Amino acid sequence: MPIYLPIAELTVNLFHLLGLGVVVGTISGLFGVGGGFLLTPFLMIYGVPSPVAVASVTAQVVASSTSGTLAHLARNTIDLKLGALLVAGGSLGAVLGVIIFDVLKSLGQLDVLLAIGYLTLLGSIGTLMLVESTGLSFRRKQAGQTAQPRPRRRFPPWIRALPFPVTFRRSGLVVSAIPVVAVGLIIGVIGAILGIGGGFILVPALVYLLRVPGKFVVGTSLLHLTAVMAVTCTLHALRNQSVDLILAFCLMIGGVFGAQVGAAMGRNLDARQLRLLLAVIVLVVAARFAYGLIVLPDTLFQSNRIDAGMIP
Amino acid sequence: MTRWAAVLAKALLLVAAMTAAPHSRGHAETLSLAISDPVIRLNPNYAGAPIALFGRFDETSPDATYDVSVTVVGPARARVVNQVGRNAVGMVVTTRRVYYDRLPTLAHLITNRPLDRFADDQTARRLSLRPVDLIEDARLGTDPDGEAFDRALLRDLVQRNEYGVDGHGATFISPGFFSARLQLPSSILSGPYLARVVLFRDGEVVDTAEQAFVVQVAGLGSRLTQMARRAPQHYAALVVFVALATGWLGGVIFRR
Repeated sequence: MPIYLPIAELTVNLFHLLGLGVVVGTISGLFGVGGGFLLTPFLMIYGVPSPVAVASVTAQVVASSTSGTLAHLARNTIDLKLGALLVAGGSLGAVLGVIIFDVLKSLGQLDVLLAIGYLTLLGSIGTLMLVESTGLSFRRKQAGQTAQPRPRRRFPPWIRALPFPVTFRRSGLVVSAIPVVAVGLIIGVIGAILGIGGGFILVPALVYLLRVPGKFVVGTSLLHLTAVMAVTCTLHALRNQSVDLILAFCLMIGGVFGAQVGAAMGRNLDARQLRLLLAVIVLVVAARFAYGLIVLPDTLFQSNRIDAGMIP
Repeated sequence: MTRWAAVLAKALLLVAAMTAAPHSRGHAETLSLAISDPVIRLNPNYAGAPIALFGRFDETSPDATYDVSVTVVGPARARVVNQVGRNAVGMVVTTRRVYYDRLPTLAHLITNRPLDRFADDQTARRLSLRPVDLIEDARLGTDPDGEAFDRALLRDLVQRNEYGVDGHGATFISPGFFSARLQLPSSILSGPYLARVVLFRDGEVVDTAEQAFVVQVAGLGSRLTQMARRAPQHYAALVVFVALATGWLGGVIFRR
């Protein structure tokens, strides 16, 4: 069934969009990530102009994260104070990211820089998660244990030495506000540049860097995603009018349904299995970018429509 | 087929009107043009549309061979063609790029028989009849391999159905009457479009004429596009509200 996207200025199949939304929404609900790192490249491959894909995905991420955020709010599994600091940093990062994106665009080679950015981030985080997950699994099998490993709660000395300590009662943490805001800011910048929510970076950052208890990780990550993506979406709509509401809405419908499916599936998997599964998905996407950087395409010429202002 | 039937019905009316109308210009082989749909609306379910152009002229030489070329062009935009290759460390990167300014986003040449049977290369180039001529016109810079970039761009645009050549898309219905039909692709930009018609007699250009038509976004899409451009702050608020409301509603509906 065809549907015309007025901002993207092309006709697509409605069921393809809904299906894509369901798949990505399932991943979102399962892992507490936005799914933008999958959705943005998929839309570009599907023919949606990259500025529209990047901008519209931010709206979809807001919707898919909202249902999850509200569910976690109801279950009391969000550290609101921690979330507020992360959102403050993330919002500033989103503003910086949009400015950096414009600078990169004017320098040329943006596509290659994006591919390298995706590969570096996804590759390193995916490998880290895979090693961690399989390493834990191996050690547990050796020891014949079935209980969860005890989380490491002590921060490294350089983090403990930082000023502006803040007490996060719900998470049972005392840590400087600097690394918290910095994590939010870095993810905000990366998210705006790469057109992703950054949940797949935030979740491990909360677990490994800020030592947030597993119970609060997914909910707090979703709160950050919802708020920062709302800011990023607003910036994209104001700066270049590239948010396609019809495209985003189709993805939202599929995404909201998928998020529920993912959340239900998540209840039957433990945290370690989830990390292993997410690591595999992240590495597959990284491999796709590596392939594009290593293997010459069939045609050596690629054409794109551009703004007249980009002509040097 | 139903769409083409509707176009054909409009054609009959237009042909009747054109037959009744007197010619406005001096010489006998003056072209008169009409189009089946002066306004193409991009509704939410738009998936391409057929369009037909009709032309009339008085044949002054019964023994002469008449040919017609119709070049349909869409709104112009800038485009870049990147050539990729390996850098010093073996990574695939853009090695060269050629820019095109004011390149039509749609260009289709429709003729009653292949163009090279009745027009020489110079004439086609001079009148920018073929999509490749339009690409060459729009190319910027002095890259010595510019033509290779042109060919690559043409291949890409033909693959997207945005550019094309149909050597049998125009038909002489009767002496002095012709029609040219084109299936507009599903991905077209809104804006002004132009059908440029050239009439040939024994390979010589005897008249040229133009027929404009408009492609415009209709319904909800039109309102959203206008809002996004004219009131981006309201549009941004609407998008965020819809996203939050959809997410919230989804949570409510699926809550057990």
